[in-house]
Amino acid sequence: MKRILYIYIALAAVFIQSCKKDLGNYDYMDTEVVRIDTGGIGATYRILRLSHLQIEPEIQIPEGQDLQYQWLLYGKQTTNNAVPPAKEVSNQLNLDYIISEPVGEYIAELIVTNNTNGLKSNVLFNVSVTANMEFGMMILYQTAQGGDVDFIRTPALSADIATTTQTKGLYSLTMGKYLAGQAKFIWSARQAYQITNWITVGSDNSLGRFLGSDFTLIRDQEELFRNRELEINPQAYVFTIGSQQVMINGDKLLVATTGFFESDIKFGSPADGDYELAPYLSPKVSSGLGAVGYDTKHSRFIRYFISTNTVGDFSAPVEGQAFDLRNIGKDMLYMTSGASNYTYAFFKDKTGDARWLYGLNFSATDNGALAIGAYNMTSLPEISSAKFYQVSGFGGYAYYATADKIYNYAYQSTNTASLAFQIPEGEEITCMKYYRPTPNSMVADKEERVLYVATWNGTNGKVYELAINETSGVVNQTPLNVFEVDGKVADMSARAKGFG
Amino acid sequence: MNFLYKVTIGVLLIVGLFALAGCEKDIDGYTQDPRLYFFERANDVNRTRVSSRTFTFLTLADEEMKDTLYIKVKTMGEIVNRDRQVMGKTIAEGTTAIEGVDFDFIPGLVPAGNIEGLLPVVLYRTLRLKNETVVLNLTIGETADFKAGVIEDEVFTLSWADRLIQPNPWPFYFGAYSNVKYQFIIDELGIAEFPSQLSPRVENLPGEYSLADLQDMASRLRVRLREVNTENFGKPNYPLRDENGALVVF
Repeated sequence: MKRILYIYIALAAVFIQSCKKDLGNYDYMDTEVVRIDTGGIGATYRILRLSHLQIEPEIQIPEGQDLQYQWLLYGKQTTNNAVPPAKEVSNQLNLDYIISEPVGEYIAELIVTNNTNGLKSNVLFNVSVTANMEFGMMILYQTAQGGDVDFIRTPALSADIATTTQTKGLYSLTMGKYLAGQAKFIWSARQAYQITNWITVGSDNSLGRFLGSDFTLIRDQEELFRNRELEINPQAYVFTIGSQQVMINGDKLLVATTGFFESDIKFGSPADGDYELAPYLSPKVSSGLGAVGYDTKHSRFIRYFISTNTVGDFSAPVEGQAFDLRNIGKDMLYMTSGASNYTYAFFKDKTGDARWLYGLNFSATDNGALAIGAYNMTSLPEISSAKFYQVSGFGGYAYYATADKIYNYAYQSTNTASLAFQIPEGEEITCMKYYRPTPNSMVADKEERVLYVATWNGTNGKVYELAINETSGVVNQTPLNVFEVDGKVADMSARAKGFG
Repeated sequence: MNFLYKVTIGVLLIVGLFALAGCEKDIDGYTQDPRLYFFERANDVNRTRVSSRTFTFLTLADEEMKDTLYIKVKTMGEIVNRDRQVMGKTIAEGTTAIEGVDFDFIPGLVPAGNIEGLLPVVLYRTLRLKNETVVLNLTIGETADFKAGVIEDEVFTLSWADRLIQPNPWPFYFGAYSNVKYQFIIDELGIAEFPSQLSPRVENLPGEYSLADLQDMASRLRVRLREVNTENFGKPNYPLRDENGALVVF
């Protein structure tokens, strides 16, 4: 019994030891402290990249105190990664900052320094930066300082979009400068369950690849060409249905074949051959054909051979073909994709004013039967003034636009055109594009239901969002939206979502 | 009484269990001498062992009479907080290079706190290299810091010359090797070595060429060869042929 008692006494002695009172000797003094009241301010700010982060905390300032403010923004440490450097984003009490940081979790910290007594107070806000680059229209335009990009999202583009938004200046906010040179093209390349998910932006002397999900820079032209001695003069770019990145640079064809690593999907040397390309490309080109261009030097279509990086003629046409791809003999005005995964090319005769629409099936193999049809456009109204073209993917119609009018051309039925839309006086059309997201998954019911028409009045740019009937091409005369753009629009392109 | 004993024994067992948890035995560490082995590896899925390297003085300026090659080595044993010396040693069998004439070993380092280092070999540009390729089979030399380690990684072969020798690897896209073709490539691209991506599923390291890079080089060379042949039309060296009389093609 005694033995048990001793055991318990020993255990009790050990436990009681930890209850010893701390006999500290402290002096307390009241000091005027700045109090930051975060009541009513949410715990986490969820914000779209490139939009305004606005935080207005209430502070209680002791009378007669001189305060100094500093807002810091830094990445949230989520694992044992290195602590990212903090960036000072404001020195005002109320924060109003356009988030150009990549998508991620951040901390916004307000530090209030009381210059009177040297004491500091701080408060932290969680900021979750997301980007919504799914389903929208990318607008590339030219300002006096250089090129820039806006991103438009409206309910007409996806059932998931409830409100109309226009995110301005994606390029300049991301890069801290405008796109150098004359803006040429913007294109979204997206491949399901593959690494291809980026936006390519080009001007006549620069090229950039941006992440599709949030428009952060992946690499610029220094890292996009295998041969760095090549003169950079991009003119056109597409991502084809055969998964090739195809570009025309300095009248030559450059192809970046797909691969496992984005870092290795670069443009090689110009395809070898005696040719000079018109600055137009079609995305509806099979992997077998590689890429297709129109050689202005010999007035013919040429195709690409991946294994030798060369271009060459198509096969001779079989009996009954509407034309010979090896000898078109006309000047190309435009080329785009349209119905049945075909490519449509607009031509002008080398002499005279005759205009033509040629249909071609480049999504097939080179079997000598790629010429689908030739349509004489010569007698259409104002056709000699046409500057912009689009061909429907749903019906047998196409649009052509003069400086201020859009015509609906029924090429498959009556071969006539009727006025579809008139731009307000004083404005001039600078670009016309369907909303045609590729891939169209989840928005097949929205594809080609909207036509975007950009105008310029000499000082300001506008983008009209026009509702259209996808099979007839009839345009609703009341625009769904009209967007103000800070420059002259050079190109527009749909941004898809895709899978994976 | 009986119950109190049981409770007491239970309490003691629990306390003892916690106390004994701190007595876990440490796993035995590496107790051998520090050792060293060659650690050149290919950038492929399996990190394949690389046990040889070629070198030519031809791409160096004429006045450069020596060059130092470095072979990556890795240590066995504890990390040590001081620089450690490594040294190469000749294996006589199969070696045609003469130490002190064709090459010298100089001490290399495994820096403090590191498990990898570089073993240097100084190669000399001797006259006979114009006509022949010399071979050095080397192993890890014993120093105060290291002995030789892994048997499979204790031999490395260097071959060098002052003339063209087929680089390893020779890109598939360039077709059959010939000295004339190789010289043409060096003249046109300014590149003599082609460390390359071995698998499209492994991202190429900095300094390595991807398969697409090599394919693009072949494309550029094809265009340049045509231009050069056009320039030489009517001259004795038209069209470009290799040392065996075969046409050079890419």
